[in-house]
Amino acid sequence: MLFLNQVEKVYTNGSNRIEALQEISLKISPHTFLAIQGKSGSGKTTLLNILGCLDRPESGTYLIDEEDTSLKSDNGLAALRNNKFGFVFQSFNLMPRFNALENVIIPFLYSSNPPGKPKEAAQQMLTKIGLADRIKHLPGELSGGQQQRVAIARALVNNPDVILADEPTGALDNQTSQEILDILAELNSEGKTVIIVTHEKDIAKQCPYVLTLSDGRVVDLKKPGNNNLSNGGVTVL
Amino acid sequence: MKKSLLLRSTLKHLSANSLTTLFMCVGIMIGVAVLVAVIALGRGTEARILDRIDRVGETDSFTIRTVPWGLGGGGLRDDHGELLLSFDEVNSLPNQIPGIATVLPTLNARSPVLVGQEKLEDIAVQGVALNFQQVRNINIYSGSFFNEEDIHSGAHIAVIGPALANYFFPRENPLGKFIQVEGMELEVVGVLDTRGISNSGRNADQIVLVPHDVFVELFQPVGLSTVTVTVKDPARLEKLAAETQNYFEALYPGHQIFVRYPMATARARDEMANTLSFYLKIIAGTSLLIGGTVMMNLTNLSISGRIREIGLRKALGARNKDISGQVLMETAIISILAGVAGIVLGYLFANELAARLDLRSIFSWHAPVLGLFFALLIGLVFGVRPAKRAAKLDPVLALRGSQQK
Repeated sequence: MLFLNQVEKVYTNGSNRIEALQEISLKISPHTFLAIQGKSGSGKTTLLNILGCLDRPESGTYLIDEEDTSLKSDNGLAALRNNKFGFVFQSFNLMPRFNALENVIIPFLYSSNPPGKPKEAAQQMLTKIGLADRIKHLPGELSGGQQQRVAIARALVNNPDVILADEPTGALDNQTSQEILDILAELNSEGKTVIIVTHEKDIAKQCPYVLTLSDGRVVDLKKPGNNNLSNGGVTVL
Repeated sequence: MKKSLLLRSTLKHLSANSLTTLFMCVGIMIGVAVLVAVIALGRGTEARILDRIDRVGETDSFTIRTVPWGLGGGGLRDDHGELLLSFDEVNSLPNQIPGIATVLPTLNARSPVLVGQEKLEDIAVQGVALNFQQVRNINIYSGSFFNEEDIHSGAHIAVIGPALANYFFPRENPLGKFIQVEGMELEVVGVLDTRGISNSGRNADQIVLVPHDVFVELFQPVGLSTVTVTVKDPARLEKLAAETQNYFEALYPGHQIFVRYPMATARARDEMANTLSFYLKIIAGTSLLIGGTVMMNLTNLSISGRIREIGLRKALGARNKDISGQVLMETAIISILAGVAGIVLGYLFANELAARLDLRSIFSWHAPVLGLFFALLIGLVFGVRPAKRAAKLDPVLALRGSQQK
């Protein structure tokens, strides 16, 4: 359960005050598949960063499984990023000199409880994601879709509860975008909470929950119809 | 598992940026090289000084002289024509001052030496008594030194230095041949082992030694110019030397008696070598500091080029100390590489310098150990700032590739 209460985030750029997030109060239950949409500058990435503990709110509270994140040290947040959340980025953010397997292993470096055989664990994850025959390839030798799959495998490797994806299909063509979205939907059906930020309406409308932000405020929440009840849930308070 | 993964990823990064890595290495490498060379040359110089003391003089003797330096002629007379440092006075010294073991009057002169038409000017001729060989640690290269009978028989014999033997008898055995000094034919019965340049700068190998009585016959000296005194306890050398000096100066009021100890000379040389190595150490320290600074700046630069990577690592759960640990590991690896290269370079440099400047370089284990220690120290000390900077990067900004808000 992710619970945001009156969360605000303000950036100051010289004399300009940019209110990136204002009075965000949200409850996101486990197993939710949520899309956050909005125009550029609406605060959707800021919200995702706060959800993923990459950033701290200016004011308000953020509870993860009823634990107040403001009470956590930087190391505590790093540990959450390592095993509670899995990040997927628009530009994949793979290490160019590391092959697929090595990229997937990286989260184990920072894990307090890495598996005994990290290579096997990473290989299994790549196999699950359909890249069994590409484990020794460098990112530059992989297509965009394949690279994003490596990134998803990397996000999954520490078995997190929540996958956070910032424009995961932004750099991909339509067909590959659909494949990636299908993978994310599949992960959701296996029990993961999946939260994606997107500005593509086609992508957003396939997600059961869609939160729309504008100027840092929640302006709309679309929920699935009664006949399309999925797991989880999102409540705007 | 984690450590080997971290090490592998660091090595990968360093080898992928080999040019930067090389530049980072250079400064520290030079510093370590100079340090290692200093130690190698310092050890060599020290060994050479000790070696020379062993051959030219030793640690339990001093000399008293009527002239401060060099080989004086005959004895010295006071204003009333009295002989200074007469045989009797000198020989009674062990009875006068307890602690003195032996007294060895040495008679010095300089004279041309001839063999046939060959002539060498201004060669040191010394008249010696029996225990000369023991007192001066002189080794015979061939033939023999004078025995007791030779000293007192008045036989016209000589032991010559290797330089003279090579000059006069280059392709023949000098033993049994004759040299001419002051019109007297002397049979060569021995050749000394080489001693090199003495502490006073003379060529100790250009020398003719004759029995005491023969010297008197040759030069008719009126007194002694140099007396070598050995003491029973080397620790009391300086004290006994001062006592002896006072004794003779009291005996000859108004005259100065000079005392020299090989060890004191050696110690002075030691100090000179120490001064030299002190300045070389400053050079080594300076280049290590410069090397550290260069490495720090290049590491900073390399961090700036990897801000996104650092942001990503943080997003994947890296704690601040993981990031700083990675940077420190890089600087540590670089400084170890630089240290090893510097050690090799330092020995090559020391050997080259030793060959060109007629010095000696000695390998000792503490040079590489010290070299590596300092390299690593510099690597870690100068790695701390970039490491802290990298660790403090804000993950959100870093993921966007910027470091400032």
